[in-house]
Amino acid sequence: MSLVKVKNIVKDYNLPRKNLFGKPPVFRALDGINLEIKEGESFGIVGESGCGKSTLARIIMALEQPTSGKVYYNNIDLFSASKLKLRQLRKEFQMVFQDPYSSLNPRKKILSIVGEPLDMLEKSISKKKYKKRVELILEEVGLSYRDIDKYPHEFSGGQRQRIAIARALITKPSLIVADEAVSALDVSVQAQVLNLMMDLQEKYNLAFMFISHDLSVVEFVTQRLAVIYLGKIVETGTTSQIFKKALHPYTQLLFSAIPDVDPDIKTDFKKAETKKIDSLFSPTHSGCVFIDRCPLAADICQTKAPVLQGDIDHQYACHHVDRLLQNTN
Amino acid sequence: MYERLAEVFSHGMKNRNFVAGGIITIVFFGVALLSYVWSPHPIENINISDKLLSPNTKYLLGTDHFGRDILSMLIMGAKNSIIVAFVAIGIGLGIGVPLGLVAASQRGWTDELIMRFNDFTLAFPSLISAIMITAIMGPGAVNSIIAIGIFNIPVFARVVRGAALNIWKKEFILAALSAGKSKARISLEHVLPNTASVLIVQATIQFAIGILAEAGLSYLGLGTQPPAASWGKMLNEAQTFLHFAPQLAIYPGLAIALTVLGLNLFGDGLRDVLDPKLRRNR
Amino acid sequence: MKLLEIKNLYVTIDTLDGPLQIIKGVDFSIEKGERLGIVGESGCGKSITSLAIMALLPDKSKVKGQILLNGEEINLFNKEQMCRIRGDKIGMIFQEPMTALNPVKTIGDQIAESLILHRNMKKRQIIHEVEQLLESVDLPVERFGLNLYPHQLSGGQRQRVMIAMAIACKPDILIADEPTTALDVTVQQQILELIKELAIKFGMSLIMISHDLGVIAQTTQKVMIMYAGQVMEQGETSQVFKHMSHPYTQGLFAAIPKPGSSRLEGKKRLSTIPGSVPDPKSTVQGCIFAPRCSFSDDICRKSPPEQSDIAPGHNVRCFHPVMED
Repeated sequence: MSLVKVKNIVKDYNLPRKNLFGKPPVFRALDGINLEIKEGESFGIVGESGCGKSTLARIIMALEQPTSGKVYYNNIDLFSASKLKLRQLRKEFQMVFQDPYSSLNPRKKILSIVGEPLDMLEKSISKKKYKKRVELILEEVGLSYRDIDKYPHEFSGGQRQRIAIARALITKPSLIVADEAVSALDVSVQAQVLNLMMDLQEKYNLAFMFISHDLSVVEFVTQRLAVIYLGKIVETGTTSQIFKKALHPYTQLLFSAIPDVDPDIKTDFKKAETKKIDSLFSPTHSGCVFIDRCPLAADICQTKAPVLQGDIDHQYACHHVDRLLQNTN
Repeated sequence: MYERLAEVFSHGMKNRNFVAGGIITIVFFGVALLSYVWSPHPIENINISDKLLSPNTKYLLGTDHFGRDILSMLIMGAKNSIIVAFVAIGIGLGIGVPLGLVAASQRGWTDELIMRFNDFTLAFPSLISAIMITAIMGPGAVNSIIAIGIFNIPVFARVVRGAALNIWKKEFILAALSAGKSKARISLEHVLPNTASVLIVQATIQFAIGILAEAGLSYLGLGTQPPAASWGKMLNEAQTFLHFAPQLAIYPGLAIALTVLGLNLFGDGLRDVLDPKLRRNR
Repeated sequence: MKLLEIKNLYVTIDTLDGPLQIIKGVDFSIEKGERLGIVGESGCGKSITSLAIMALLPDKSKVKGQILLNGEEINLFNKEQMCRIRGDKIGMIFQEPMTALNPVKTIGDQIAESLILHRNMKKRQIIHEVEQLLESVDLPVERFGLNLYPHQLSGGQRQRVMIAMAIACKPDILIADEPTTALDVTVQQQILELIKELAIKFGMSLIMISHDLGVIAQTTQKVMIMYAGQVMEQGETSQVFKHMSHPYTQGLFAAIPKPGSSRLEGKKRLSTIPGSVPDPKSTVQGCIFAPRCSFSDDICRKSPPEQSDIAPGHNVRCFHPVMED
């Protein structure tokens, strides 16, 4: 059963206008994103900085309005729901952020940080119950109930991320959006936090939207994923399929770029020059977004944007599918 | 809250500016409070036979041309200066801070409108405009409070907006938004407490400016009216006797200079003490 | 003679909470042209070590031990002498290409800076040299003029400018402190290749500081793994990465999700190192890793282990090194 359905999301941002009159230039951060997250599933979003993955997270969290497109949550349209309805819905999805230092207000105690979602979303709760809920959830994420009177600066980075997870869990949501939630952490702490997230997922049948640039983490954690490049999904499907046989040249490039921990395996990296790509962000751009870095780029890529094709387990947006398939077989 | 105060205090004791400025400020406030219960001589007493005396055992700092005790007038003047500067800051905080918070949370044209209005106000030289306002509305302590207070508004609005914009970029704001909180509530709950340290520091600076402005207005005869005492008024009256009784100008002048210096040092020190980032780097 | 030799380095930094010993007895050396990696988690002292070599530590810090560059004790140098070393003999690349470049100066000016400072060259020579440098970091002068400003470049291009600045005087040693952490993976790989290539081309020694084991594996010949201000394991990169013997090194490796591993198939959880990094304020009597170590026993808690060789060119600070096979 699908929990979240993202339908054709487009998000434009107005850039500062170049002259006083005339339209400001438009920057297209997301260009027709479609995806679906099922109950209890972990869905990965992979892409480099500036590809629009954080914008997508904010739209799914209803923190930002898309320019066009819809987000359905349990078949309720987020952006036409009433204020009251939206507030009820917010209990169902919460977010864990990247920076454990900036995501906790330094001047608040843990009690009010973790309990914050209850303030509006479960207004009727009594003070005593509020405290109890916070204490229970802190224990749940591996902290102590005694921590409620402490301030964030008394905790390490990993513990802070646990606090952030506790805050996200307190309304018993069914979806957690984790935006680079472990990338600021050290390796050994990262593993602890990932384990915690996966345990909680199993226990509460949570769905995760797991945004990361770290491919090995995504491979380990997620069941399905979407690779985004400049606001477009270029490849999507089950994680195992994509990691077994990446088809889109961009996904292949990403995979080849991970430095191997075995010093004897030389990373076979395809050099791809990053060019100035401002024009690709414009809504009037008609070709493939990856054209400037693509080793397979041909005339058709200039004029026609490829659409996602393939079966439900593995879709890719590239004109050169045949060649890609041949290469990998 | 108490722990936080204790922490600020213990860090503060290691900061020379904070300690020196703090002592001067405390003395200044102490003197002002003292004036309510005691002054060596009543300042309304005109005693021409004792006029323009040098410091002696009866009049510790001597007397002015009406035979009033200079020390007593300094003490009473401290009170008036504080009240004027304090209330003027209250006006600035009360109106400027909400304006700054609204500008930072709404952005767009609301922000634009508030900030352009700010620029407009800041474009007038504040002391000269205060003179104009008191000249129109009539001299007196209340009117000088209003005149000084108006020009505190844009200063606080600008400072708060700048600090608040930084806070709005933090991820805990996003967390609060996903908890369903409104921008107004987030401004009060999350943004304002995080701008407090900048505000306190700006307030000490504005306090010093307020005291200077009050002295200036009173010097021109537009501020505190007789028989009440004010440092600025003392300076004004002293100028006629500058040649043969310079001490009449020196004492209030020193009092103003010392107080302003103290408050500025205190503000500087407080900024260092309150800013966790600066603290870590030292 | 070794090019750079660090002997028994201790660094103590004064904070408002009292002095903190960040580096607790670090020894290592680099030969000319050798590439050394320093790995560790945040707070382990890897960056402080490099700052100690450059004498760029905060004012209130004390350095004990010897730092020998070409046999000269540079830790005893005064400020002026140290300025002649920095940029000329040792170049440094920092983590944040956004903040490490001055936004109001052109890239040409910034690259030329150390040439003007250390080399007595005419203006035309300097311009020629800067152009050469830009070429060598793959920023062709036709497209990337000397008069561009940092904001006109992408993150990866800025990092290339940083590299050009660091190698302007062809230093003997290049220190790269997490040079790619702020960059995307596809850019990271290019920058790493470039740094390695340049080090080989100019015969520079390289100190690569990173928390990323893959980065170290791909760029270095020797490696040392640091934990809480001490070197835990040290040796040839291929030897250490294949036969890691310190429990900490093993834990570090095990905590990374391996390519091809998914929790859906077989392995359910990632292995972790229990506990957390020790508070630098605390003093530990025995092995500093003992509280988190699954092999620790009474010996470990009583006295600190010394670094001892377990194979040629491979030493470990552990009483119970893990030996495979």
